[in-house]
Amino acid sequence: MSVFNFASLRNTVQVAIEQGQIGRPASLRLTVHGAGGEDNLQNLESDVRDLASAWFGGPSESEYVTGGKRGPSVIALKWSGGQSAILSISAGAGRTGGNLVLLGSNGAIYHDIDPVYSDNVRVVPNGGE
Amino acid sequence: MTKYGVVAVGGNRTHQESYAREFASDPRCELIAVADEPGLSEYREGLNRLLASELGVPYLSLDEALAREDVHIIDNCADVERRARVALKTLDADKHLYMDKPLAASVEEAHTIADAADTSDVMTQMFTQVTTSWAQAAKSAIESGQTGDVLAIHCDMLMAKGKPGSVDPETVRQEKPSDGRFTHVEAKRELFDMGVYPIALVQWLSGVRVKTVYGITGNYFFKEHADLDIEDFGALNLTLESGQVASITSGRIGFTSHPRGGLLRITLVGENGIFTFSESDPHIEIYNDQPPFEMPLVHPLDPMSMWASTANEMQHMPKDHRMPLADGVQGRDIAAFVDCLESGERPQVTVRDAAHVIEVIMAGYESASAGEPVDLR
Repeated sequence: MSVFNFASLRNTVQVAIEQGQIGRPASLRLTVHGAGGEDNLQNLESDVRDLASAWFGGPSESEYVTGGKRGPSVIALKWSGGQSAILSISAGAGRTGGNLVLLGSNGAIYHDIDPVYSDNVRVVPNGGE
Repeated sequence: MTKYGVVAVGGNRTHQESYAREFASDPRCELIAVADEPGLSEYREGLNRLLASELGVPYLSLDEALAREDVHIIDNCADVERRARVALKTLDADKHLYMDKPLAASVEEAHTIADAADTSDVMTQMFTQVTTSWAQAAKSAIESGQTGDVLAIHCDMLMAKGKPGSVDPETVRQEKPSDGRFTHVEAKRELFDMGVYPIALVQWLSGVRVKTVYGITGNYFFKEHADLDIEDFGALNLTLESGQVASITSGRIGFTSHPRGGLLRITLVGENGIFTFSESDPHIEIYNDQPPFEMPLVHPLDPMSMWASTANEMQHMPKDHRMPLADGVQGRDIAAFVDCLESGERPQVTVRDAAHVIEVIMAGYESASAGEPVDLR
């Protein structure tokens, strides 16, 4: 589990997708910077990958990763149905947060991952933010 | 005050619709004429002459315009397949060169323009978003040390125009290297036409060249793009020569997929955390009893709503329920170019800079075709 709790985000977006509000999900752009070190980074990456898999109906077919090794990483994912994602993940000092755009065939979902709005961010029991 | 004589190459249904009017409204400039090459299609020449008529200036041949001593600036919005030829003639005639984006239809043409500019004494600039308030704020955050050392740069340009949802949902795009064709009535290649903005921002913000490009393209929204076998979306995962990582998304996503004209955004990750700069933030949101935005009727000669003239014909409703607080979200690219002519300072995005953007775009197509990253030479 990363510092951010993405469960409510995943569920809310999933409801919007199932309601047909954006048509067919096509491309995800998610950038997030969390607090902490390498452990948090790995958890954050795992959570963000889970979001993409959930909204596109399964794991990607191919991926290309740049960066990492304690610095920001950028993960480009492609699905067999043509969908894509660019996931930009980092952790470290300073401001945390990020942004998300999920483009669908006839609509889009935008979300600011903003620590000011605590609904979307929680403090993990052992510290974190 | 010295006035710069300006000739606008191109016409309606090009960006000359706005550029020529911006030059004409700058008190330091005088719009002398609209001009273009001979032998154009009836469609193109007719639209060029229409713009000249609207602006109350004569329509000249390009050679005639270049020969005039009272012409100092050529504002080049020729179709991109002809843009390099017009640029080279302009530089050969020692006129300052203001370029529409993207610079050229191939890496070779882009290098030829940049090489010619390097050996001339004139100023060059390509239109970008670097003078916008949000881009300037991002640059300032870097230069002031607010971000700390920048580790990653992410830029987006997603244009909210066109009627989405028309593409066959089974469409899976198979990209191929550029065939050099970019000008179509129905639609444009969006990694080329929109991707130029975020790539230029990455280059401008970082001050370094791109080393490696991984590209993805898609047909996600529009039948028009799919029918032409051109992409409506493109994303690039970039490694810079400095070792920093970067990414861009670009495309046309449909009128109703954004509360304003589209997503124009820079996200920086630095030693001091994450910082976001966008065209529409901070903003106010307005809720009232006025009717919500409705999908405009589709113009048969501009289904993607690329041009102001056709939008005016279709009487598009304004999107005014979300208003940014900042002034200058549209930028002052042309005024900044004239500033450079007066001061002698180097423009922020010259044709040399723009040539590198073309290298990145074409590498993006090559990468998306092969499914592998491409190293720039």
